[in-house]
Amino acid sequence: MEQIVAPSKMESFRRNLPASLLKIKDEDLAASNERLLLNGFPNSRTEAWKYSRLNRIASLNLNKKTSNPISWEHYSLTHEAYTFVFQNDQCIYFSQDLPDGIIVKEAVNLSLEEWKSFEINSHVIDLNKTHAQNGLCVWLRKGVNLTKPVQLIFLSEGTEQAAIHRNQFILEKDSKMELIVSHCSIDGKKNYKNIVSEFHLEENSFLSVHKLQNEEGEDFHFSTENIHQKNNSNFTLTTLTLNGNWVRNDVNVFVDGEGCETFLNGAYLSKGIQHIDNHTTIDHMKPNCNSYELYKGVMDEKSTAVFNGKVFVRPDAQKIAAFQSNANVLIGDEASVNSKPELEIYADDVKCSHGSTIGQLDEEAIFYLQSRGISENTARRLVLTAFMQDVFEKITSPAVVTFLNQVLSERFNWDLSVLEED
Amino acid sequence: MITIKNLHASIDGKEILRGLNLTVNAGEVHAIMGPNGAGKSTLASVLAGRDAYEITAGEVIFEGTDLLSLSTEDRAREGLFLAFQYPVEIPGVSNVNFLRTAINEIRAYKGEESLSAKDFMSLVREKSALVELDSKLASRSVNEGFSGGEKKRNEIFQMAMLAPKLAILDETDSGLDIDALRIVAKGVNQLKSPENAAIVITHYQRLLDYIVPDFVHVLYKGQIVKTGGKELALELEEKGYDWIKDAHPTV
Repeated sequence: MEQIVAPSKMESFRRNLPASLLKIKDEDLAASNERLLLNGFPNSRTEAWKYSRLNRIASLNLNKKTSNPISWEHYSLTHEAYTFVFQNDQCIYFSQDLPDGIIVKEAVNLSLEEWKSFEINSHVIDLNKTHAQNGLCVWLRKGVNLTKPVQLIFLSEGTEQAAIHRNQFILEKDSKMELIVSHCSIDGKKNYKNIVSEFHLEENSFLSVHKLQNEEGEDFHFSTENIHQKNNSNFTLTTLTLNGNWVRNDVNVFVDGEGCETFLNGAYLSKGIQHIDNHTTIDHMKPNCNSYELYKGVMDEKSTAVFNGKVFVRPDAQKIAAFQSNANVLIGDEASVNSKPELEIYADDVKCSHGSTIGQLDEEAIFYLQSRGISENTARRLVLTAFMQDVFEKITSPAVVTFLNQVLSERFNWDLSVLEED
Repeated sequence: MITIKNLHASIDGKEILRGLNLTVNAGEVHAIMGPNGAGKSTLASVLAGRDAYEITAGEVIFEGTDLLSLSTEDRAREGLFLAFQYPVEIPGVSNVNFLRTAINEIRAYKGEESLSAKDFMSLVREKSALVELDSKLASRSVNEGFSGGEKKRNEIFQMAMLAPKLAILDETDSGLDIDALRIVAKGVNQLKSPENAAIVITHYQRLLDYIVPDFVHVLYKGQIVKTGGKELALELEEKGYDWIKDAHPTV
């Protein structure tokens, strides 16, 4: 239950936000408005927001400035993709060259009937429902195997600008695609980004999503992914948070079919005063499914991180194998992390495990490497890269691997090539 | 090769080395023996550059350079090698990749070109055979899941790969069965040359049956209190350390 603290803050926050341009049922809109009015922003007494204070966001003075489209090509990871680009609240590039079997629309062009919905609420989703300006909607038709990935780029730019979008992806039976969602900013100052993406995986469909968060400057970023999986579907989300002033990810997976596989991978690397919060929920509603969750982070300087991973196994969901692991290394003296795994298991024939670790760099290992002639910097990099390696290995997109290597080397002075096998 | 003069070192305010003097020349093998707590491992750590120790007096000249002013990695690059008493496990960092990084950083320090992957791998094959280390171990994570004997053989393998001028073996014999001891000693002996030297730190004499020292020093309360030939080790084995302690009650 989100508590009433200062509804007036919420009202002033929403003051200059335009109403949603997307079709939404009147009663849904009214319900969201009412919750926002009554509950305002959650405060630190609300468990889900205990470690991610919203004061700085609540006091933003968002406005709307029209700016010229900026050149986005530099932010594209690959030419071999169907690319769609949003700058703040506008769609600035929409790939026209699409193969048969895929239908893509801007969210503003969707009819009410074309939207599917999730029974899940948060103040972030409510703000999205009431103020979304656009987004991308993709249907992949039955049996279509998309050979090139869909690339979705969200660029933010300016000062105290809002980018509120809602995306929807529907994968019909036996279809398969890869999605790259890339978040970046150009000298953003206190921009507010709220992206809700909803994924519907029908029977035997396969979706792999790479989400890259690499915003420079002082932006506030809220990402929500809601996933609905039917029989024998396979879903992977790999979240790489490499930059960003304040980042919150909410991932909610409803495994509503048998024979499904779900993979949630996350890597977060922070420094300065960055704050990165990953909240995930996997709800096993049906039997005979596997889920694997691996999140790892390295926090430097004064940065902070939060991990909260919930796994539910419902009473009739037998034969579930659910594995969750979160590991953290604090390399900054003033860095901190709060990690909380939660398992709620109501079925008796399941195999579930979770693990959470928080540690520091093994100084004895660093000394050992140095004593063999390796510089202290390289030694630290070797040990940290080795720590992150099992998450990085899960990245299946070559374009994302190239991008990751580039960011690691430029921003963190890491070099993954030292670990490559000959 | 190395000259240690009046070395004093302490940890957490407690003085461990109290005026240690030692000179080792190229081509020599020196054994340092002594009872527990004499400062044997402290000497190894101080020479390798472990920063938990504070040097309060003295100097160490290694090949004409002030060793104590160098960082740990530069000491290694100048040709100093420490075989650890307790080799560290480093999950995720493979033995060969870490060694290749080390060799190439050392070569860069000396202004030499990097070793090609091909030449590096043939060096790995040659040197791992020397200590009978399974080549599969070479590609595993550093020391992870290695047995005690494998860890010590891995130390000697690394020593063979890096070809140091001065090797310090810190209780390399501890925890080794007789076969492993023989293999480790064989490796050390094969690496011996007129250009390099070794300091063998040990509590027991048995390693010295295999690695024959030119000099044996007894370290007690942070000083070298007795020096002799290899027969001194046998005497210590026979009589224990009590006669040394009795002879130096006030050190």
